Amino acid sequence: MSDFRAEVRDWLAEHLRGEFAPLVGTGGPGREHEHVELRQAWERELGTGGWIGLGWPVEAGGRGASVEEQVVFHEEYARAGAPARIGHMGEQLAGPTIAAFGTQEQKDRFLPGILAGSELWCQGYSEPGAGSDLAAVRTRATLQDDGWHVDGQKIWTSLAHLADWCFLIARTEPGSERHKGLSYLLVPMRQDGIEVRPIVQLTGTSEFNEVFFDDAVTAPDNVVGEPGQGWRVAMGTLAFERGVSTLGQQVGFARELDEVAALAGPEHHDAVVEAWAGLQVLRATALRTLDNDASSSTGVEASVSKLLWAGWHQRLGELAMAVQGPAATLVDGGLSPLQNLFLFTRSDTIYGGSNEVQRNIIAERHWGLPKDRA
Amino acid sequence: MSDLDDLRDSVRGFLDKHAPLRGDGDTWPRLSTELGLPGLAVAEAHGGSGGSWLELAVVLEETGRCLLRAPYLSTVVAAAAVTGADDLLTSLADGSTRAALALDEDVQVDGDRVSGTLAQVVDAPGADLLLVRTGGALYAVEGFEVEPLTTLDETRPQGRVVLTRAPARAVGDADRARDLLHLGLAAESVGAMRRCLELTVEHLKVREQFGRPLGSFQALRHRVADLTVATEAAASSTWYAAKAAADDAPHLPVAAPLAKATAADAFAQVAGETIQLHGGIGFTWEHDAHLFFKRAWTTRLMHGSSLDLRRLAYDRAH
Repeated sequence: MSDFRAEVRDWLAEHLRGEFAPLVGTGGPGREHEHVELRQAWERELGTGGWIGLGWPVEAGGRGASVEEQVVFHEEYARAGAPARIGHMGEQLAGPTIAAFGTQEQKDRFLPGILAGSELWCQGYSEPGAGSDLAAVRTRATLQDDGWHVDGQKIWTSLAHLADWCFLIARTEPGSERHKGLSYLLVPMRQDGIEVRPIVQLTGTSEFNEVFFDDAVTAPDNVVGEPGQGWRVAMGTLAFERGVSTLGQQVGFARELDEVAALAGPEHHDAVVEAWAGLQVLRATALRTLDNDASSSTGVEASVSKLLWAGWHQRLGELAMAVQGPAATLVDGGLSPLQNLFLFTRSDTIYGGSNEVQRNIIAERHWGLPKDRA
Repeated sequence: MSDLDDLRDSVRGFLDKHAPLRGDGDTWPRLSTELGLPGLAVAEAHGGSGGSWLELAVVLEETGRCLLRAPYLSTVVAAAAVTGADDLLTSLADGSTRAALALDEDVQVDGDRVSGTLAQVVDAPGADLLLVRTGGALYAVEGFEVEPLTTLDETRPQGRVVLTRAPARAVGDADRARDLLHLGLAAESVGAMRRCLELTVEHLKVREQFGRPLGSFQALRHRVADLTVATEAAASSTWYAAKAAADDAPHLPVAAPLAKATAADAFAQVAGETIQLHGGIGFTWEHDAHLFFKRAWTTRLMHGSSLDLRRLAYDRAH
């Protein structure tokens, strides 16, 4: 075992106990409502331990860890059953974006809070009229003497009710269309001009929200990149998404598969075998993507990977019900973890770029097929 | 550009010139003498180039891409599996010995003699060396009669072989040989399905109906995307198994059958859709689509069904 793996494992064994013991196995898709305050404390614990921003460059306050080390961290984190992160949107999206496109003042102001786990972020991209078609953003912001004034509505905003800050794209040039005239703003969430309303999902729980901006204000300096260049910055953020956490995610998938397999009778054995084989394909795909020497890159690995894992996970959810038979249709108190898996995985093929959007990306960017006629 | 990409380019250039899909010339002598491809992964001490399975997988993708009419896969798997028979390694490496593999069923062994009826042996016609198995042991047979069979896939010959107390010698581990065959079949399939996708996309860009290119219809674009995902999944599984073989890693017995199952299923899907997405022209003898379709199903139906191979991998892993 590598020294680094031992370091991660030891730290988790040392800290994921005592007051944090109830957090083992909590949080995550469909379960973000669990132990919220304790998980916020856990974020700060991680920050104190120096585990946030592992892959960030040293000059941004990170550890400059290699891809392999980051993978090890995510694997060990998942193996220990450590709780789902609630600081990931700051660590994986806002932070890298500010580090790449922000001013020195913005870096000094925002990166330490992310690294300490003390300031939480949410992402304001999607709108009721701008889902797959992100460039249809209508939320607008105008620069006045006291700062940017934001009006509009965002939707599917994970953890908005916990977040201190929101990074969002808003139309700052009246009359502009599509990708032009958008700006990337950082907006404090705790103010009168912002109202967060939870969306009750088909699981009966909530982790996504609608966020209403009614003359919300943020300081003039809280724009990342040039005003009007928000699309470029936002696309940069999306490029930071996905990657090294994939193998950690798959440790969780393997645990779910074990739970399903334990309930499967002989008649479902082959389906379990097929699911297990599918998970090996996901793992091989992730490792190939991370291997710099692997030949024949397509440039659309993220889309291929998303379609593969989202489809696999959804089928696992269906298998989780099939192995239980009719009993799976009864609810006892609340949804069981496998019922939750079954229901929540319907969202896997929608969020973070729906399957349909991913297919278009592959058709256009990899194959150069012409766009469909509008 | 990596060394593997350079290797791919040079092999592709050679095969484009000398091994067209419909070619009937014997490419084996050139492939052996000009490029030394049979010895690619054979140690230099035995006349090979000392390459790894990562390189071999790239070459096999290219020989799959052109549905090479030569016993390349059988010969390189034999060369990788044979141990303790230096004379065989040397003649496999220089291409003077062409191999055939019968690894899916046992023969009977009596001392240094083997007997059995092998109903379908790929690459048997023209082979100088036949590898057979009994239990986990691999045996080499050098004198045997072959009855050529007529195959659905005209690019991959098969023969029936009857062994009656044929002289044989033990040359290694039959399960490892079969793992490497599965890996090789997966690599060939990946190359072949990439070619299918290229042909299909080209057709969708050029062919117009209703006043616009077929490729602008989202229903068709999305099918191409799904085929791309299947192809890349197969490529990942194959890469993972090739890396295991290259590193002599203990998980090859799990990775190799999974690679074959994943790639054979994907190839059958891609080749079938290649016919469909070409429309009527794809159903003709003249078009190349059926060559890939027949190879895909031959690959899928032989050397273990996909379900059996996944069960095998699962049992080996648990």
